[in-house]
Amino acid sequence: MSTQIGHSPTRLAAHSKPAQLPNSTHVDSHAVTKRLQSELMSLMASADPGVSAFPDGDSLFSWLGTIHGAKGTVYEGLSYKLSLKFPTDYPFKAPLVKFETACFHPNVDQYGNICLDILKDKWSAAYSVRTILLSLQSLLGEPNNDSPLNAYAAKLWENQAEYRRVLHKKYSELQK
Amino acid sequence: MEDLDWPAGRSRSTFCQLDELAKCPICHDFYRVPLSLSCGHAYCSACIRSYLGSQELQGDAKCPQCRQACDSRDLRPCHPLKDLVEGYTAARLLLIQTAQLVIPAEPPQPLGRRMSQRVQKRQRSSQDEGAKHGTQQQPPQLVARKDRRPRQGPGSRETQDAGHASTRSASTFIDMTKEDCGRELRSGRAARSGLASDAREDGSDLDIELSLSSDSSWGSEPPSQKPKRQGGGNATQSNVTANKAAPKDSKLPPGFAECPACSMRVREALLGEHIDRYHPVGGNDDDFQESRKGLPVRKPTSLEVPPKVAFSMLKNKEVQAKLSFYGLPTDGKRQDWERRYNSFRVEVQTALDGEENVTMEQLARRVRSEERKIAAAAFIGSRSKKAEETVPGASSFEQLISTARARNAKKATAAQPQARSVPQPQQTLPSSGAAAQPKQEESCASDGMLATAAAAAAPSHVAALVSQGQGDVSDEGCREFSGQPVDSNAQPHASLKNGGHGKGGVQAPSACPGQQLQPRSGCSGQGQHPGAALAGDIRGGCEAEGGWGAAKVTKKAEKGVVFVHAAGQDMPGLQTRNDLGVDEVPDSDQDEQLA
Repeated sequence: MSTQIGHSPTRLAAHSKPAQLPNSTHVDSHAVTKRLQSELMSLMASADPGVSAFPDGDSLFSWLGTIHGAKGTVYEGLSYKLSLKFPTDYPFKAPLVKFETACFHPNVDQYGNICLDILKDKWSAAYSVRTILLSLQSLLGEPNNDSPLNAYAAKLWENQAEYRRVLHKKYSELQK
Repeated sequence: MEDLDWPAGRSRSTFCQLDELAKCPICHDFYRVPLSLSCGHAYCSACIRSYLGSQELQGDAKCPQCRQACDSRDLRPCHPLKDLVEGYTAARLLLIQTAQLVIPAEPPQPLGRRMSQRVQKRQRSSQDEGAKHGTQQQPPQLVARKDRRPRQGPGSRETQDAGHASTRSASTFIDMTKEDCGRELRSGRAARSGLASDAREDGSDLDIELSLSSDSSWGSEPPSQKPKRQGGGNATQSNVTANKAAPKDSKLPPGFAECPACSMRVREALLGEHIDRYHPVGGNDDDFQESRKGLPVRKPTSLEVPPKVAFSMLKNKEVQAKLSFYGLPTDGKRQDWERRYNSFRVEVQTALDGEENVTMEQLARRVRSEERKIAAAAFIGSRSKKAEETVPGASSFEQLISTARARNAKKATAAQPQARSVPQPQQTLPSSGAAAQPKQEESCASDGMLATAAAAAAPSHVAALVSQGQGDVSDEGCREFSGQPVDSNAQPHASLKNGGHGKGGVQAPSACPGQQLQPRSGCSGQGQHPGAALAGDIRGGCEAEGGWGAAKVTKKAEKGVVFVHAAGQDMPGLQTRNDLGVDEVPDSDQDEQLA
């Protein structure tokens, strides 16, 4: 037994090439998958209103999330899909979060990139998928118009009625 | 954050909040060797050390919770928290069981806010509990209370009676298990908590109170306080104030005496029994005593933290020399070496923090096996992803199979030539019967890194199957799961479907987690860490539901290397291939190389 274990690293080295590991830099010794699993489980169990997420395909490192616009905001009744890509040193590094559904919002650009501090420099290992989704949900209703990615939306935000009209028009165009 | 171990209902969130208090914010698991930072926040030793390690490289290490600047030199052991978590995890299963007995008897609209109000009210009103011991501030306090006064409204006569019966059974249960709990805690690690149960019954008023209360003198005071068993078998009399240990000078309630040995309050009548039980002459629980004293029991170990290394200053050879000095493998690339060295360093620090009695060699071995597990998990993930990609154009996939089979045929011994080429139950080796009835102890005997990974990530069923290493487990093993109980009220399941991440076969996995609402500590390899068993649970649920993936556990009988797709990160998309009509996934290519 022990000899076989001893050989394992070389085995790994031998087969890692044909298998084409997606990331040659290994996962940090911390059980990233374990943390992601526990996050998944708590997300499933806790029925947070308006947010959900689930791994996309086989990899636990790529998730799809959905957020629904919060009640009382112009986004009420609209739902958006997001993609979350976790780095191998998650949670020490923030996941890459993007809107998959085009989102008309001051802090979201046309490609779905999001400008949110906690996803960039203000990330902390204490955040989780759940807190990200909830933050994004609240970002929808409370944009930061000081650093807009979508200047038109930021400008329009002051006129809520007009903003709502444009937003719903764009959203319904998407649905077609 | 919710945990499905706890009985469903509004009270679950209360229990889960309690769980959260005992969990590290970084790994989301129960604290392992907690250390506190200068700001007062605590994390597992391994978590915070590797976190700070990565942050300090960038020169801005901050507490993940409060962002206060911090430094790994600020880390201090947090003994009370450690003991608290250990005690809590030891008692948790019992708490869950008890809660399951008590909570289903609740009227349908209850608890939730009312419960917390009640907790507060109770704390305010009972002076000798709240004021004296100052327990309100102590985080882990759980009160599940059941009150059946008529004013509680819609409980009909029948439900009241039913409640009576079940409550009574619950209290008997508490009495019966109290001893077990005590024993568990005693024999367990430095468990300082106890489970005090208070079951009272007068007229129409039924209270069941389960309180896991923290003890004001925990950790800070040397006198050994043992969790103890109170009360004979009489539910009406076992009004135990148990481990709400009062400060020594406080007045004892009538009928109570202070144990001279551990200064716990005990019913006078039971003092003799208490002393006999917990303070026998020439007591044999030395290890318990030792850890109890609150003094750091640092066993003499030869552990020495490897020095911090500025790798940019070193040549490859020098780095390799460092690794081999500590008995670490030197394969892989340079960045692997650096990472390996750093994780070894964290491992040693954690072992020192946790006062583990290990040698440097054992830790080096641990680093190696950990690395292997991770590599295996990544490998399985990438492999299945690859398979998924290739399935639509199945030709290349088939090529893989045929080449691997050809290679395999050369290598295979005469004894088991066809075992893998036709993986059907009929082809199973004699030991497959045994494989279908796994034993948990064998899960550590797995061979080869994939088996190790699977053993780590999959529930004990699968792990054991893997470790068997022979016999075709593809059928029997999976059927094991389908026998598991399935809870039918699967809300998350439904909501996920609504979430509609429908692509490929996402339907099935979204259905699965709903299936495992049932707590199943039994099938989780690690009992109290449900997160670890998620993959297996989901898988189990899926088996029960759709029966797909019966052939998901493929193996290489010749060498005993088994792939388990349920392992770790592979979990969510298991069904994909099946949806595409591929039943059995021949992993010959990779298996081959592993073996």
